[in-house]
Amino acid sequence: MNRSRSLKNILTVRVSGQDPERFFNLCSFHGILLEDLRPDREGFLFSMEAPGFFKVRRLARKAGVKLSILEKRGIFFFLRRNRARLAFFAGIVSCTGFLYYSSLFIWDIHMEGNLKYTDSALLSFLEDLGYVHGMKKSGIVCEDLEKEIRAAYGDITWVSAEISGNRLIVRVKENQVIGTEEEEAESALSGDLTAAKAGTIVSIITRAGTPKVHAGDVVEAGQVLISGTLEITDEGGNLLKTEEVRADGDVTARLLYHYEDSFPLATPVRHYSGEETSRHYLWFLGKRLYLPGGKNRYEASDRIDRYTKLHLWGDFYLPIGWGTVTAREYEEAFRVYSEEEAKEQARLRFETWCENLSASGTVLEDTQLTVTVEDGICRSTGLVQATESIAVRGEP
Amino acid sequence: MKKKREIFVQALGLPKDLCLGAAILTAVGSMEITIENHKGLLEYDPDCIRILSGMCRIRIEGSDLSISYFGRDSMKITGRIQKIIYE
Repeated sequence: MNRSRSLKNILTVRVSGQDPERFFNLCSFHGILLEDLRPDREGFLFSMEAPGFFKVRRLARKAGVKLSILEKRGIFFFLRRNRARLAFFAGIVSCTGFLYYSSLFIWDIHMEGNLKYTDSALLSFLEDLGYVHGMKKSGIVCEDLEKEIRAAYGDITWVSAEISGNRLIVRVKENQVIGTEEEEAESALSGDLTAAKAGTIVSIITRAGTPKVHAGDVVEAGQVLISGTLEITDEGGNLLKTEEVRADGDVTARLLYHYEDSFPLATPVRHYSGEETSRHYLWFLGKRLYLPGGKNRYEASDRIDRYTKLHLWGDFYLPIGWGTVTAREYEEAFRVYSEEEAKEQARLRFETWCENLSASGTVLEDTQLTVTVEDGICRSTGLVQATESIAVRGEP
Repeated sequence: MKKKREIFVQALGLPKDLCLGAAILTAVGSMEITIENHKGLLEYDPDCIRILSGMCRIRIEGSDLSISYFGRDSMKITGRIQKIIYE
């Protein structure tokens, strides 16, 4: 009741005169509700809704009483009192309108789950399809977007696009074992699982089909691991019939990776002078407005772009942001590694290669690295023993 | 005549508030009383309120009496109510 009353326009009125009771009865007879009726030193006070006051005035004349308004409450009276602050209210209304209008667009495209493809690569692809910052939310059909991504990237096996607030969130899952979509399409015809690489089988779990290898077997690339032909035999072991199924299972093998790398001892390096310049910009409705100053005048420099997008809460992003592009000056120079430094560098490069291998799902068991420096070139060779899933859908 | 009407309504078991214009009083403790089917306010003081109903006059005595709302058919009185007298 209090909330509804606060929205209504309420008057507090004093009634004074000879016969206020007659006035109350007249109000009651004409269906005007009087509230909070209480005696006052000059008469009686009561509250009523503002629209009924004109009617009440006529009844007061009839009853011979005098009415005086003591207080006016409600939204109408508030706006009337503050009519000098029209610009303030116009600002509130226009701000609300702007928030509503901006909520109709996408102001942030967020990618999740992508390891192989970078955010910028996927965003660039989406931009080619017309999915850009600042596009209307109503123009996005998530199912179509998912289909487009799956069609263009064969090794992205699962895509989910979702609009949350002002964000377009695209979640992907990349397949690291099974190849392209064409192979997937072919797999419908082919029932066998074959070895992608040569190695020694560590474990085999068959869910459908007939296993053709056992743990400990050495297999070659292309060899059938699980056959799609199911042989049904009787109790005596005699073949009754065969059925074609789509082979399914997990086959893990131990295999050997050969690593080779070389780089000259004299390699180009960047010497940062320590000089840098920052250029600030405002991001508004998908456009960058650079503030004056901080122009990049260096001959050679790299750029670091840091930006912040304003969001009110959760996923409600606004088309407003700011950022800074920092240019760092450097000079290209050749650095000649000493033998020790070159070996250290070779070791770091090998570690990076191993990390990339691990990120693709391979479990490294043992690594060996040999580094030699001859004729100004650092050569490294290595052996990596690893286990990984090698089953792929075979040729039909 | 009035007495006969009361007997008639009583005998037929008709609702008295509709047929005789009797007021319905709902008291909540001694601090609140709601009166339905009233015919008007006769007198209002902080210590005494007199109301006209279809059958009689109702006198409510107490202290700090105020009327929360006063409508066409019903009203609510709050305060410290001591007596309800049918005159």
